[in-house]
Amino acid sequence: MRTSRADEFLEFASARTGQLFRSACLLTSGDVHLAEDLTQETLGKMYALWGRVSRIGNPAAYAQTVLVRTFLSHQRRRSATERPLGELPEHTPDDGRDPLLRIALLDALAALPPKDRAVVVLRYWEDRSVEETADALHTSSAAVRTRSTRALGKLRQRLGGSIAEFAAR
Amino acid sequence: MSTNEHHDPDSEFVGELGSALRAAGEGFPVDGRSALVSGGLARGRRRLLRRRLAVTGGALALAAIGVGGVYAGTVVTPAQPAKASVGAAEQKAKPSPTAEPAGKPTSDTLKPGEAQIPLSAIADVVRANTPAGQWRFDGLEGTGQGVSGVYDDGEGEAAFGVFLSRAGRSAEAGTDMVTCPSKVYVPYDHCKAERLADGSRLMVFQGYEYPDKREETKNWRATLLTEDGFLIDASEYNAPAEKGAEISREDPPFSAAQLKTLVTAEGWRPLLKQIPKLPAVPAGKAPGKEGEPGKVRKPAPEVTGDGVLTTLTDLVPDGLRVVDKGGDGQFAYAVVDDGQGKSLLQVNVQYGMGDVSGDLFGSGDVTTLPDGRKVKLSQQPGEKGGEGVVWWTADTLRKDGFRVVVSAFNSGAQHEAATRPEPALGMEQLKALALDPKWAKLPIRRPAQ
Repeated sequence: MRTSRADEFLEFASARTGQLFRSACLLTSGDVHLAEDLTQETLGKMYALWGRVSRIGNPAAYAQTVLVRTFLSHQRRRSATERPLGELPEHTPDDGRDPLLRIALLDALAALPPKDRAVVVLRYWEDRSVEETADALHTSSAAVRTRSTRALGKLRQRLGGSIAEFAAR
Repeated sequence: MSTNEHHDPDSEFVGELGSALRAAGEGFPVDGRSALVSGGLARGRRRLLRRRLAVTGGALALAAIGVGGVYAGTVVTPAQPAKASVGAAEQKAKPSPTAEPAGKPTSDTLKPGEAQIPLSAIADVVRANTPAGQWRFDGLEGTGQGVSGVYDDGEGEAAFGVFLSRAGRSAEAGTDMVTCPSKVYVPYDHCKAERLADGSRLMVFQGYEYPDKREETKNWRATLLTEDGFLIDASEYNAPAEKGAEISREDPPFSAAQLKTLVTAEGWRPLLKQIPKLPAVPAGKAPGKEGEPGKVRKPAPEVTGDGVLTTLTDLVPDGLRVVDKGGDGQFAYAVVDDGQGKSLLQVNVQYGMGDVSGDLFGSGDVTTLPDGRKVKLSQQPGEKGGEGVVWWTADTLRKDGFRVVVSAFNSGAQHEAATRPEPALGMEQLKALALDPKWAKLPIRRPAQ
């Protein structure tokens, strides 16, 4: 008895949605409402593609790629001034880690251009290689390296030594 | 970490950043995940259904030049801006926090005006009006306006979808869905449009999933526009999925006559009545805000009638013969021939495009004229699979958002192989065509709020 598309998809989605949502939260630098929307949009695209996607090697990684592309196309559509920098969306409540450092990190991510943020999330949260990141973003490896270097410089400038402290917790 | 880190002088910081990102990411609670899953599934089903019923009608001509969402605008949500993609339309609704009970779609997954017809009732009408066979429908426990599934009469599994909707507010709404498309845009084997005795209009179309036929997946479809303005749209395939599946049989299972029987079935009437009237304000706007200044953006005017088409044919340079033409409203095309081979020419005339100026003119070969108009010239490969096809474009945008974009191809249809090295018009001719003052003088109408 073959399982239906919906059953297979639900199994996949139940396992992957948490990670997708968290990636989306980082991409949106903590805008959980937008992150929910992007997660659902990504799942919707995965469902519609399921016949093909379920046969490729790694649907989980593909879903992350779809998420990042969905995020970037969302950013392209909306005006750059829609959300002024520095005006942070609500963050989730204190979960025991230092909320100030967490907010500082999300704030620093928010100050990056969306594509640079996408590079940071793919490379340092998703642990993708430069080449995989370039592939996901439809760009060249050289462009990813440039964006990485620039983004890291900005993050280091904003976060200074506090990040080591945060990471150690 | 990736293997490239040893090239990176920032490696220590990178390690810390990775840990910090994980700590920050894991701080976002994921307990609302089941609502996200069911919301995602609901969006996926709509997306699948839209694709299964995707453009073959006259609306395709619009989609072809990159104003996506037109079909969805006609059928799923009225009055979407032409530029908005389907995804964009969905993303406009601000999601509610994931406080909904698990397993139910969150409120944002329902489009304004979407009917709450039990999908099992739609499936019952399908079963009752098609030959006996095995059906497997997607998600019959939910509600909505259409179902998709797979049918098997013993000869091979076939994807199927049916969608019910209101056609729109205007008298001509939906007529593009029951008009056979031009073969310039959609190759097909048969298409028949007719008016039935009760005044409704029917199109039965037998064509292909891929316009360039790179896979032999057939798409057969019947669309009925009733006299009281409802659309019943059914599509079938000769494969268990419209894309990405091997074909399972030579033809889709239902003949043209059987499709007609299905879409004209009396059983649809009680279901159609459950479809809410089209909302008075564009989707995504909260009710009750109409009076507040600045809250609701006035819809941009739209070019109406066949002015774009007649202007295009008037402006075709001497020496070029128009061998085919079509389109209405803001879009028109002409296939021209100078004796060296066919060349497709298309134009869109749009108001209210100022908000996407950055998307359209943010990069590339952009110049600004003394009057403030932006002009962008581009040359790129064709996108619809025709071998060797090039796509030359002159895109122009006035400060007030009035846009004229003219494209030319070196073939008579984008999905057909190139017939000549270059389009019949050069870049300067395209630019002159796009900047012609006549476009701004065409009759317009303002969509109802």
